Amino acid sequence: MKSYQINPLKKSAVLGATLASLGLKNTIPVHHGSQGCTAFIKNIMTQHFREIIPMQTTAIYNIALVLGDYNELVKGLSNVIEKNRPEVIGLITTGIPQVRGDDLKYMVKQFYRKHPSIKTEIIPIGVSDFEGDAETGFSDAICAFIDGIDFYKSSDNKDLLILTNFSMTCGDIDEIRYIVESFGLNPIFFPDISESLGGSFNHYYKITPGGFEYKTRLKKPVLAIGIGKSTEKGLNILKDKGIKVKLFPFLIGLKQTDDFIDFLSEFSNKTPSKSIIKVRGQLIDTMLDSHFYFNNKKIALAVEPDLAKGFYGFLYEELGIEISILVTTYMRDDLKEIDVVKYGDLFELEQYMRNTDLLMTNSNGTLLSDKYCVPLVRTGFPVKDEIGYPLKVFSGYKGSLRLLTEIANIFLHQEEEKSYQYKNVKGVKYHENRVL
Amino acid sequence: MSERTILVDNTCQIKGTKSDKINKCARPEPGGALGGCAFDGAQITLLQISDALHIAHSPSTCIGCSYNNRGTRSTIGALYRYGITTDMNEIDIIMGSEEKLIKTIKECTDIFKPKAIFVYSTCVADMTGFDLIDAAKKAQNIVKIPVIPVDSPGFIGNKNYGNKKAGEALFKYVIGTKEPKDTTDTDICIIADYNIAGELWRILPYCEELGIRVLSKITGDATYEEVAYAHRSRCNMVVCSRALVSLAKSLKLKYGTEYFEGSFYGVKETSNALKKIGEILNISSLKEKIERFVEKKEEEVKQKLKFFREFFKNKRVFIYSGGVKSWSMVMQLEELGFEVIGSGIRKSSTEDIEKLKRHFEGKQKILMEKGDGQLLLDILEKK
Ligand code: SF4
Repeated sequence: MKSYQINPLKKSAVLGATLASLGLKNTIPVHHGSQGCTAFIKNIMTQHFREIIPMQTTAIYNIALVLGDYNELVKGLSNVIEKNRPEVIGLITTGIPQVRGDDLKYMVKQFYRKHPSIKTEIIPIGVSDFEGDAETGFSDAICAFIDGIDFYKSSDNKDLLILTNFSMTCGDIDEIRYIVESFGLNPIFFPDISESLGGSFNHYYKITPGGFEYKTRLKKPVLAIGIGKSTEKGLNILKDKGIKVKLFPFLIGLKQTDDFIDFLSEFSNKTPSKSIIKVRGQLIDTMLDSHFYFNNKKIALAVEPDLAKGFYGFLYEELGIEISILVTTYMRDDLKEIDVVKYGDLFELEQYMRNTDLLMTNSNGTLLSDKYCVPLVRTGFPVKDEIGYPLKVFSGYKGSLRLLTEIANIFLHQEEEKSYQYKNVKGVKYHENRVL
Repeated sequence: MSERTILVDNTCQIKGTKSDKINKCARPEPGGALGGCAFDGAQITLLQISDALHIAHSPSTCIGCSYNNRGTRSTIGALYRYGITTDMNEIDIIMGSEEKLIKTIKECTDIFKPKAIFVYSTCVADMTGFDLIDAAKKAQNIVKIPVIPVDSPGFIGNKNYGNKKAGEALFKYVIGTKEPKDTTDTDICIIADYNIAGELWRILPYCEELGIRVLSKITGDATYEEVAYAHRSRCNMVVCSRALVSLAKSLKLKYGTEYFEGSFYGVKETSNALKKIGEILNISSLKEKIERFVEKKEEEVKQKLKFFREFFKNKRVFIYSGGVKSWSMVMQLEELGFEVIGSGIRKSSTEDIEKLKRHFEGKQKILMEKGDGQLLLDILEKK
């Protein structure tokens, strides 16, 4: 295995932790590091979400770096708080303080001592630049946040805390919200990027205008659900705090959604609503209508583990589409069982492109889809060359149906084109690289 | 390490004028800064050389999501869209990472067969006390193509400073290492145009028509080779005024090549630039040709714009480009018939700010140092 990366798929844990922090209300993530990391992350998130992305940095500069003093942190924090008045700050480490070995918790304590009047909650998030990926960074940030929450008992037992994962879109969260509400429960997403990065604001803001309302004391939810195995760590902390927990994979496809609906139905003692059952029927019907086109088709996938697991369950196990290669960003135990899974980068994918009919990965997949003339379904992060990606739904019956039709139509058109190709009756010349 | 970073600051202070110093070496404000780092800046300057490989000696943050993200276009190849990182991890930091970098260089050379390799140092690599120059030398002996170290850890400064460091690397290791097949009296070099959205391709036909040979481009749509023989140019035009003036100055000192700062934004600016090239090349027949050409083109454009000027009349514009081109855009929009009510001056050079001030003198215009969405919305509401 090569130790370097050519066209990485992996994003740093810092990016993941930043996205998680952005799912809180009235917050601004602050990076403790040099300004460049923040600029890169802000740039790419702005392209992906097409929204204002609040973000700041302590801007470690060379002299400060050499001396290793804490001034830039103290100054950075007080500047951010003074200018933006956030209620909570996720303070995220980047490469420099990690190498330097900064003790963030201690530094935050010092900061409060120096500024006793400041009420903003500062949560140090010590993710590593050298380990894990955006998905682990995202879940590590969740852990850092819930670690500090004190849950108190309450008689109101409708609150359902749902831990989200890095690859969920705003659309996914909204769809799951809809499903859970239909069972008469009150879903609270943690973090909730659909409320902060999902658009629908007509004013300028310096801190996130919506999202999970973080407080150090919160009503105890009746149950906590994690979507995606990466939320397991967070669930364990909640379990230790005496909350009932339940883990689900990414809710893509029939079985994975069925399990979720069954569980909610049992838990709430209610039958699923008519509209949910209707969409389920539509999904099954469309699976039947489209299965002709999946014959002999191969998909190459490159996404984070949670999404990978979700896609694999739907595309391969339920639709029967062959997966030529599944590249992912870290080797989780539950992925090791799947033989086509590989840890790697987009260059890894390139070896399989001639044997692939469809590529599913982020926008950087265009490097391959252009070269090999293979269609690309954009998914994951970043998707910077498609409008509305963050609102796209992958989850639940509705999301699965949407994804299914998107893929099926590509294959349908592929077959159609192929039929013309004999003697080229359409009069179109095909690119020689074309894989048909 | 500490010696280098502090030294760099000093040279910067000695060379620059007082106002320069504030502009170019401005220390980022903790909690109030947002802008790319030196590594970002160095890549912006060099990435376009797309028959060369660009390898970042870095953990995943620096490259993970920032590659394939430049608006530049190239006819040479697609390597500028590739992101290669040594993906440093904890072990590399403790045990040293030279071996890993050299291995990466070697294997990537085998895969891509590039003409040269640029290796960039980043914050983490630099903090481990890594000797990039030495590693590059060793790698060069193995792969037998130029391996150019770019000293660009993010913490040494902002994007603009990174541009400068990249210029330094070109000056030190690349320019002057090759000779062109032939030279002509009209060889010029366009510095600091990166062919964003193919803008350079709009200008090259003019040069061709005028018989001006663009010997080298630094670095829009450039090959490694043409950069290497850029010292044979007889006139250097620096397009993006802040970024690489230092390179043009160094080239003048070493090779005596005259340079000027110009831009291709707008009709007047383009004419001026072409005339200036004629002046520096100092060939009377060419000068005449340029005069005639410019006159003809200006008339042509004037006719074409007539309709639009009417349409844009009385439309008021505030420019906040966030880039260095504010001045050029003011002129360009005025040519189009807009009324420019003000401009942002973030990232503008002191000369540009002076020019703007003179241009706006006596009129009620806004010069905005640092804007955000709220300030811009306020302007929109007031007017
Ligand atoms: S500031 Fe340093 S660590 Fe961050 S992107 Fe720039 S070079 Fe990389």
